[in-house]
Amino acid sequence: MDTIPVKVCIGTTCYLLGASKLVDLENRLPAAWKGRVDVSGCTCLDLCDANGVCNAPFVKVGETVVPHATPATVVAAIADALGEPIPPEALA
Amino acid sequence: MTNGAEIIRRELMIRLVRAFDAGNLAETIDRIPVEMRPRDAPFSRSSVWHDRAVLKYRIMALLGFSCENETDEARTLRSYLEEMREAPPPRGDPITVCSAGCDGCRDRAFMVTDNCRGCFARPCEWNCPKKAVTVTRGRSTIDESACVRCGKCAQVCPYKAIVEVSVPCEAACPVGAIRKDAHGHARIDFAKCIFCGACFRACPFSAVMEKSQLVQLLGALRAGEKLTAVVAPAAAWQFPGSVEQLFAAIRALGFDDVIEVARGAEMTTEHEAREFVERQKEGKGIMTTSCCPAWVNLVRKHLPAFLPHVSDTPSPMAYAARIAKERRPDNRVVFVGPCIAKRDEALRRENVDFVLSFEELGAVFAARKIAPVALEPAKLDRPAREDARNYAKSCGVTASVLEGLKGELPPDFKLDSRFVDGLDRKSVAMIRLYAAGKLPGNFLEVMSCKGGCVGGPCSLHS
Repeated sequence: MDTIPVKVCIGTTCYLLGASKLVDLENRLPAAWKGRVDVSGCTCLDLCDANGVCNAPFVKVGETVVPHATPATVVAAIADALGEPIPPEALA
Repeated sequence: MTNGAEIIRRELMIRLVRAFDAGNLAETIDRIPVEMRPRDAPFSRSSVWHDRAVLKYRIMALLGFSCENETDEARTLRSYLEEMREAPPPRGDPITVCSAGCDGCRDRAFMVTDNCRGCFARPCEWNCPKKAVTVTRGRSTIDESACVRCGKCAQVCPYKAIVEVSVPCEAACPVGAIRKDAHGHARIDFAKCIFCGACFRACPFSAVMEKSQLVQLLGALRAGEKLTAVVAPAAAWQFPGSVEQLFAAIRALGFDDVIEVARGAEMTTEHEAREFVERQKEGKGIMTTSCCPAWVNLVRKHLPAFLPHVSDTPSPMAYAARIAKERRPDNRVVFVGPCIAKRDEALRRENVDFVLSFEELGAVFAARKIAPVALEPAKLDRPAREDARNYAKSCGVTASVLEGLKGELPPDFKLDSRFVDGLDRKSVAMIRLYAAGKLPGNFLEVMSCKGGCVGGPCSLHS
């Protein structure tokens, strides 16, 4: 099965508006997702100007853009992409 | 935890910096609240108009004005901006409460919720010391006039049916300095306030605001003034990237020179270690650290008798500002850090002209699309020592001073170091015991923020 790329923007706008809470995302993912999700950081997804500052922070899960990303919404988007329910331990 | 108040506060700062950079701040400043809360868009308070009103006060505070001092509600932000440009408002107390933002939370009370089953055992009724709880018609009721808010009923309820509601700012304040005024809005008693920022963090309506120098500082940079940034050690834990990259980013804003406050911390350590040895030789008893300005304010305003036990050593900021002036005597000095109380301390230091918070610095980076992590690292003359950089973390000061003490103390001397990690009512009560000589120890580190300065109220990770 292909891995799902997850790109977390840590550009300053996204970082300031919430991405600082996403830097440890990888460690929070459930063990069952290991190897199936590839989390990486980037400095800008070029979405902030298109959508206005108030929708940051942005995370891309596969081709899906998650605006106002929080650990909970990103986990939900990954579960969606995997076609699985959200494992309860992922939200702990 | 993601906190919406923090996000809106930062978004507003970014918009303000963008408007400043566009060169038409005076023309657009009154539009910012409308742009952030257009009609028919979602709102956070009772309506878009309420949101806009509070955003206006927030911008006033960002221009350095106290909301409490407003005399004409119809004044435009533009007129405040022009006044600021004419003559900066007095810095004074660094925080302000916006009464339009304050929800006037209901007084602390215990309330019975629908979880109550009116059970047979009725521990709420049996355990109330004041007979304020009775169960009638299958439900517990609390007689508020008899209740002493001890919380026993809430503790013993097997259904968690009794909840405590409190006024978050009042509950968070370690010194009882914030109370509701006659109109039911929070008001700070500045004779008592130690500027720790507990209320600023705690208010779910974000009605407590910092009085900022951000716009004045941007103006100074644009005017080509020579400025030296002295950057608090907590910086290392703020932005993605290294300290050297952060310094490169600060230089990219137009700062002429950048210095680590940790270099000042090295001097604090050296001086404080020597001071400690001397005090011990003279039998002066317990000595406490002096680097945390909220802690020093606590002693000054609430425990004056304990003041002789606070180290006389200047803070790392004071030393760093001295270094800054030695290097570039004509430059004005900007302290960059996570702390509200430093704004107050800066008023008493002749060499510190501006205080910028990490949040504000981040907003400038964001508006100008500067990501420190993407920059070529700046070259430091000499990186500060590791122990000095660790001043930003709880127990870091102690570790550094202990290191400085090595070989200085007579072999029979027994060092007994203690620490207070975060000021709240409980720890203040404990400090009162130290002050009364009722607890052992001869070296006491006090950090107002839990975890040290890295957990400061204007840290990006608070």
